[in-house]
Amino acid sequence: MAAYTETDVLIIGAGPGGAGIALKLAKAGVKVVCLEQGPWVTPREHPHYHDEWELEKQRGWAYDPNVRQLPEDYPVTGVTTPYMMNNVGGSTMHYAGHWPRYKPVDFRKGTEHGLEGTIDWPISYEDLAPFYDENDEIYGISGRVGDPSYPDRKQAVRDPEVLPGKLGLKYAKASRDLGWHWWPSDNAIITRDRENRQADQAMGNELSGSPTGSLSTPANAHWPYAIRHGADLRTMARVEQINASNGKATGATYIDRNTGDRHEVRAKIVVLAANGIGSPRLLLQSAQKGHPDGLANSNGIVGKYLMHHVFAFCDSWFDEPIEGYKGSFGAPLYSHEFYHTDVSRGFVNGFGMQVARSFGPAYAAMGTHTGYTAPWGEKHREFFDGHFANHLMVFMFGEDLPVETNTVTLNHDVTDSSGLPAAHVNYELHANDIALAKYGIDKIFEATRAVGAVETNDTGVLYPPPAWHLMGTCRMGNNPGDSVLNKWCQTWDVPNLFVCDGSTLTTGAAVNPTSTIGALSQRTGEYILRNWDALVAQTTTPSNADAPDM
Amino acid sequence: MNDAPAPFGAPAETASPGEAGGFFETGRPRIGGLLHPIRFDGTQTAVLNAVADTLIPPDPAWPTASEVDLVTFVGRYVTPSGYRNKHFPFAEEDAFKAGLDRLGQSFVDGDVAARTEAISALEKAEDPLFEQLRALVYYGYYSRPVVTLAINRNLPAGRDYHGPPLPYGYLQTTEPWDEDLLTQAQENGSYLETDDVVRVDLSQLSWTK
Repeated sequence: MAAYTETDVLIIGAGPGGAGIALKLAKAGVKVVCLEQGPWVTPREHPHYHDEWELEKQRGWAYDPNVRQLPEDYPVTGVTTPYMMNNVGGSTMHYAGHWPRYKPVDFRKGTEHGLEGTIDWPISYEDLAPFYDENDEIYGISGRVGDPSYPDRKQAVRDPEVLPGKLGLKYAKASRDLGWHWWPSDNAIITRDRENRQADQAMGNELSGSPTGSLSTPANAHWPYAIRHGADLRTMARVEQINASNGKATGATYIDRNTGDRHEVRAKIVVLAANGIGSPRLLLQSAQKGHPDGLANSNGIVGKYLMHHVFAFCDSWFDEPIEGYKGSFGAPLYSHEFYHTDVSRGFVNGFGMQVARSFGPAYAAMGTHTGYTAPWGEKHREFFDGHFANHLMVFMFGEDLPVETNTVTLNHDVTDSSGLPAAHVNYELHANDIALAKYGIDKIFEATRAVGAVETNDTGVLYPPPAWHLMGTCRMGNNPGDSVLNKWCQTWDVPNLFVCDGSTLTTGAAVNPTSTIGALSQRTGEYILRNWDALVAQTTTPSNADAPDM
Repeated sequence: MNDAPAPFGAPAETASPGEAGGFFETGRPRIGGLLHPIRFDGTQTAVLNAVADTLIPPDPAWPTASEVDLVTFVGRYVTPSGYRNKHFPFAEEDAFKAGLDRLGQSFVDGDVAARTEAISALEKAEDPLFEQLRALVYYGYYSRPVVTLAINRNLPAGRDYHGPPLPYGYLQTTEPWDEDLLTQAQENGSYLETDDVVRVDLSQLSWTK
């Protein structure tokens, strides 16, 4: 037996970035190995069939790996609460499935304001649009075409939109009465059956995943098919280092978490897709001969410009049933009325109002999303009866500026169960983001009060941020002085090393990132396929102008 | 902290194949908590029930908290002595029982005012026992099927609530979109074309001043 495995393409990470590329390449007959440090998540691990589903949400389904502490997780130090899972499907295994796209302006924020580290993307919305459609069809997306706040998306395949319930109708009417934009959300939740997947039952609680397969994730939309086409997905395979020689990546060394043994995979092309914290961590951890500051980091930009989005949670209560425990979670709708920059408000960028669902009675008693805990003792009954399921929650979801000092670095004082260094996050909110968020909170309550909210409560601008989105730390850009990647996701330093995940995103927009990560993975996979010989022969990474085109 | 693997199936490192779960070990804590709940002695049991009735006072229209077997629920979600206390609500057996013992028989024998004073003292002192007890009582009480039935009966907003999200879901009882509303939605909203993006007037920003 050879001391190493040889393959065409090695992919690190089985989440949306890696899975999209793996499926595309495997279908085309390319030999693919994917290394994933976690296991498959099985249906019986989800809490949806159990009386204790609300408590379980805080335990094995806690979204912060520092709380959950599963053996596949690694510590993330600093003032942070990252939303991250390490398993087949990545963090989508318990996302809400909100599936908005970037808008054209989101690729041109350098032109629009250029504040802090903001640069234009090296590509446009139009470059990515066909790959959004292609990616959506693989996942299975419900929604409704025709949103006037986006370019025409008639080619996008959609299952019928999820049901709004009293909750969705309430905020839709509020937006309508104020003359604001609103539209039913696209969600990565199927409303028609697919192979081995059941259509959504308006069950809620997608934040603990979906045991029926209604939530569209790489674990059900990609991997069964990639494996059918010959992809070699190795779970419990924790990468220790990406290896390089003579300016090119040669593969990676990983630890088999079942046995503790080390193995090497050699590949002609390596794709890193370990998320906005995991990817910079692994590049920094891969410092070696010729790459003293980490791989692909000769310009020192790996790990910088971390973005999370700026959030505030806004609770409103009504004196009538809202029934937030019903319906997919999955937003029923969003308003992008305040999405675009209007400097007369005093800040650049904008925000979305994303209408969320609630959970059950324990969630109401424990204070919903804003820590408004039911009093104990004599006032408990009255409070609970007046608040449970009369509740409507809206996320103030804003774009944050990419700031050079918001970073992911290594922390050698803390290690994972294999002895590898922890990631360390430094993230501070920018004054622009705080101004934006405060404005957004007021606007949300303006809407809910207009339709009869009798009580409101909010978190203020959340800090530490909920860090649901991990972006920008290996960003695409225009030249080796402003970024880690060229316009095709190749690292500037190592031509056969690609990065494709949240870290790739140049700016964060004010939308959930997964549909864009998926679109980028389709585009990157297509590029690798079409330019295989040229890419394998490259000894240096071409500029955006000189790179072979699609 | 004791580093013995937790019995929830959450070892610090994955077990070898064939041992302690082997290939099927995911490390995720067992749903439903401990297979064999922590046992409490007679006084501790009485204290837990008295705490439950103090946090959620009895009401004729609702199940009484001390009568829905919260003690077993609590026993399933407390970390046994000697194991890593790594999952919510982070209540470790020895410390948790010691806290119950400190409340003791006098708490059980106290009237509502005395019990309220004792719990208030824990809350004011930011004793972790307070948050553990409140979380266990709230999560426990509102997860009991008999309480779900009371929610259906007593609260208009909870009429259709059926506890666990599955297997039933809410497809049959969730309102659909209103076509008129959807038609109106086409009237508001716009976007900027790629080529129309221009530099904005940054002198108007409030935070730079």
